[in-house]
Amino acid sequence: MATETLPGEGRFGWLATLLVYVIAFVMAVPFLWMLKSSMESDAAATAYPPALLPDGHFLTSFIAIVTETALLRWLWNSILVSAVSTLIALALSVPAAYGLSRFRFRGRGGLGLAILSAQMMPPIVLIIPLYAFFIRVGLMDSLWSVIIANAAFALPVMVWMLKTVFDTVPFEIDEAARIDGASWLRIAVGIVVPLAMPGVIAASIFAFLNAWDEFMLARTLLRSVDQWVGTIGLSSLMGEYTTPWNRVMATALIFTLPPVTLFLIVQRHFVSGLGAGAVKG
Amino acid sequence: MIRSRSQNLHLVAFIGPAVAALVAVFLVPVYQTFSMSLHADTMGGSPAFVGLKNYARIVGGRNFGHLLVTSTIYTLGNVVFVWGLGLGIALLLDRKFAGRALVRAAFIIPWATPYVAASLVFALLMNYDVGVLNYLLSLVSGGTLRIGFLTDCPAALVTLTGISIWKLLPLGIVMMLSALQSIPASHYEAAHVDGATALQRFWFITLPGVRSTTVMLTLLMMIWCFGRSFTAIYLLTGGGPAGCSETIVLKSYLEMFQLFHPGTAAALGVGVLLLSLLFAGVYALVLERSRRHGD
Repeated sequence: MATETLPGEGRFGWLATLLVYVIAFVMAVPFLWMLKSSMESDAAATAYPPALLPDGHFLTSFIAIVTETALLRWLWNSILVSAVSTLIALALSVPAAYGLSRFRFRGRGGLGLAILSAQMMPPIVLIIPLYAFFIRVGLMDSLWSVIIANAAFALPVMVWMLKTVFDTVPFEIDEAARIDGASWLRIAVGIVVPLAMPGVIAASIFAFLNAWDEFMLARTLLRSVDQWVGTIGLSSLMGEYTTPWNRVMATALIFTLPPVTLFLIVQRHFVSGLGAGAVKG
Repeated sequence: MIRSRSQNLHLVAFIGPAVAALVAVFLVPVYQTFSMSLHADTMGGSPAFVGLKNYARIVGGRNFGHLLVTSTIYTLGNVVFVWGLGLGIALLLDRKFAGRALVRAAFIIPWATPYVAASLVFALLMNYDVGVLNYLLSLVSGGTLRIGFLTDCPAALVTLTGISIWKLLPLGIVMMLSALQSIPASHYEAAHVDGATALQRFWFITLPGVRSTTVMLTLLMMIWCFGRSFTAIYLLTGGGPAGCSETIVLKSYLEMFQLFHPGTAAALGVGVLLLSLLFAGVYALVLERSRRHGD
């Protein structure tokens, strides 16, 4: 392959590489600043000019937020909401995606398109009536309201992602299992899902992160401090001029690390998955 | 494919629950919002049917033009910069160099950072009094320049658009990178043999090669940014100063949950939906056409 003709190669390749490093650094600055600010003392957090490096109080702000706010509770609520809504979304989307991938029926294309377009729906249109609905059924201020809504919000993308990966699993495998007397559900869950595992994991992480990140609905539905999820607890520090920046950043960091870690794991998983596919195919 | 007598039963059992959930959480609320937008602007009880009065009041209001301009600047800013910067960075990344893994990780961080956390970091970086950005500005200008990134107009709108661009840029990079990698190397070789300059290769090979991805990314970004222009704006400026950074989505939310005007809020929401549908319609057409091309 004559890669020398690709843009950015050749004489000025080093310049392009340097530029990449600079841009990557700039993109990472907000995260690095969060990291730095979280490891400062209260005094350093309000100092002007701001220091480039933390002043050695690595745990001060973390200890303060754990003891003074309901942080651990918010963290637990976020994990609960994200995990349960992901499981519900999986339970609904795996059979649906399998059906869309394997069954022939009238309106199949239309249904697929309708599901795809649901993901384009602006959340505000849904949240106004959902708010009224959850009040009516008495789920106001309950984590269940957010769990149900997040599971449903993730559904369109999950069905679509899973259908795409299920399509890559040869249908002959299903037929062979069918002849052996396996039920459709057994084939879907026991054979096709394991074969499409990288895609299933990616879809699950997508749902998990969406729930982890969701703000608008949680903000309107969860009122008492003990029921808050991470996004709400974190945002409550926003208007608090009494909360020093080091503690705000420590809280932000705690809620940023799980999604960043998950992303980095999936990335590796994807790369190895693609490699495996290349060897086989 | 499956065609059997038990198929219908299986079809309902497999697809039914998901479809029911989608109808309950997407279709029913949309209908309710639409219905609310046609009823009087009061909370509780059973508001009277008022037809299109809520819409007329919004369109006739003196802030309406401003609201459209704000949403348009925010959305277009995102589309243009996520595409342009995404393509530029993808071009730089599309080759071998030392430290790729680390660079890739750095580029993924904005994507993975929760929006609320990102909003708070930017609030600190761009703080008027203690923010490092204003410190750097004062260093460069000798202490004369200081910008209220979140308290001045139009700086606040520009800042919020920038935060969204930062957040969505990884998506742009990933999509443009995969588009670049789908361009056959032989095209570049042929152009090289013909003596084409780098600029000509970019214009005649790279740009046409990423055309369909560009259309896709652009439309996706339009729907995405326009329909979700909320979290950072709500947290950092609340739409201010004086409506400077207020988008239609934020306005709808504030009308509903702070001013308790459900009719106005719903009408604004329907407006967002109709514009998104317009974009989505174009998106579906493009998707259909590119799939036919693929076959």
